[in-house]
Amino acid sequence: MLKYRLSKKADVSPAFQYIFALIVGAIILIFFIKFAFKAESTGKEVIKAEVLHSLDASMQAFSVSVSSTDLLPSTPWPQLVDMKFGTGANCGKFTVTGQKFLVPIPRIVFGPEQMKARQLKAWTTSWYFPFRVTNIFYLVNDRSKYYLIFNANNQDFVKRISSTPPATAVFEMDHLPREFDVKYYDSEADAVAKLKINDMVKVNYFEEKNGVSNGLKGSSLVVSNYCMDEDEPGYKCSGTVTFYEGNKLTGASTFIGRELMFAAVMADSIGVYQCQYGRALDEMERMINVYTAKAQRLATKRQECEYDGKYNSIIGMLNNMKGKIQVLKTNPGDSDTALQLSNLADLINEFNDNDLGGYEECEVLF
Amino acid sequence: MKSVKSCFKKAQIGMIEMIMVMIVVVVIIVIGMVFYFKFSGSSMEKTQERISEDKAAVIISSVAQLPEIECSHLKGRGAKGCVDTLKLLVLSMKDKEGNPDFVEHRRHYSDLFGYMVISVEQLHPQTSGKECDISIFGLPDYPEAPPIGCGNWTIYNNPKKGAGSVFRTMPVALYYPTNRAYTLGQLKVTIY
Repeated sequence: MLKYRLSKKADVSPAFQYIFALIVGAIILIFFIKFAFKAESTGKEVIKAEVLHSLDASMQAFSVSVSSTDLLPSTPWPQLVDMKFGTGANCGKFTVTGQKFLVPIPRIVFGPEQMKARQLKAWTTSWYFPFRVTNIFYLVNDRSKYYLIFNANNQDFVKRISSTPPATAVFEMDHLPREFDVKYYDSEADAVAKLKINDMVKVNYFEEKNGVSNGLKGSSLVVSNYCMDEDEPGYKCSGTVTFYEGNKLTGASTFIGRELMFAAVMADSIGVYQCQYGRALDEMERMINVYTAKAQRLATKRQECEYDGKYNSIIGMLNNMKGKIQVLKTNPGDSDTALQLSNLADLINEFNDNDLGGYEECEVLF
Repeated sequence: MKSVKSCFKKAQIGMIEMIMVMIVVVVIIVIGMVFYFKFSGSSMEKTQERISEDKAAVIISSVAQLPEIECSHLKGRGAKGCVDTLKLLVLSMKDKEGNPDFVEHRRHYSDLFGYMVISVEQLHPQTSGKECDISIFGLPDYPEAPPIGCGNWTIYNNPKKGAGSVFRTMPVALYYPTNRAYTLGQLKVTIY
């Protein structure tokens, strides 16, 4: 009896061994399956983080150009990236949809607020007002389309600033790059047709409007005559821009300089435009501080020039400019101040070139 | 008696064998994972080093063309590779030297540059190597002829302690607006 019970013990233990091996094997298998899934999702997060940082690095490399177009990044991202540029409290930051963190982009960038792309078309140009302030970046993807709508009064100007200025134009004006494919039309018909295949379609008018067709984004720019004259420097161009989504007015602002006129064309919403416009004005303020301090130092060393108070005069003008920037930062839609700023920039440039540059004993400020 | 003992022994041996096998399997798995993470860690370090090298080359080119330091009197392409020493002096002013606006500058530049040290050094004619500041600028012999008084400007100083760094230099022309002289210098960037 005892012998039988004991032999049963020995017989049963292999079964427990198999069960034990099965359980341990299952635990190890589950561990590795979880590890594989975790590695895959981590890989996707790494790609998104790389996207955030590689775009800024690409723009930094690109920023050494005075004016240039390029594809960013130079090697397309391995997957379609859905990115968003921050506005309001997240102004100046950029994120990828699904990511929790935002990366600051310390550059002035105009374009659609949200874009899906593996590669972006980029254009950069130096903003002079009247001295070089910073580079402005314009980004666009293949799924966003822009149009310039002309009328009988402004067709010559609108055609010349488009991506395909007429070959018959006598003078070349600064215009949107060919790669952006910004066409000119006399109506919204083609733009409306493109709504079916594009994520974002924006029409830009150079006259006062009360809205655009449903589904379209739009802006109505009222530009000064200086903007239309290719002989005039870019900083003399100023005006107002009103943004629409369909027939709904979403906001209005101003622009100073031809470069910001293009920015008003490329920004697809008032949020993007106001955010970057404010940052551009901050940059201008920084440069004014640099030139003011430089003028103060020059005044102490170039005393034969300062005898006539030239440096003090230009310091006064720069301070005046700074005051107007403060007004514009508080009220970006103030068209009078925008115009005064453009006129002041012209005055400062003339003073620098003629009153400082025209005299041997004086050194130009910029 | 003999059979009872041998039954017990067989079961015990069987169980011990199973446990030993499990231990060996787990040890092999742990060793494998240690090697995997070590390998992927070192490959990530190499990638990071390569990225830092590329970043350094890009940053130094973009710093040289910042409107805050470039020779604006030369306009556009002519300003490439030329640095205005008066602007350097302005940017390297310490907060106590007084323009409160420049405190805001530094906050802006810390977003732009992060952990970095950016300085400019005059190479020829040789100088004492002293740091140029407002007090030296105020001296009557600055710079009537190419200066010997000072030859270093630190325009951004935000190092990261304990971190590795990449160092790059780039030759630049240094322009002195006070006497319209050009000298040879180098832009130095240390990226952490």
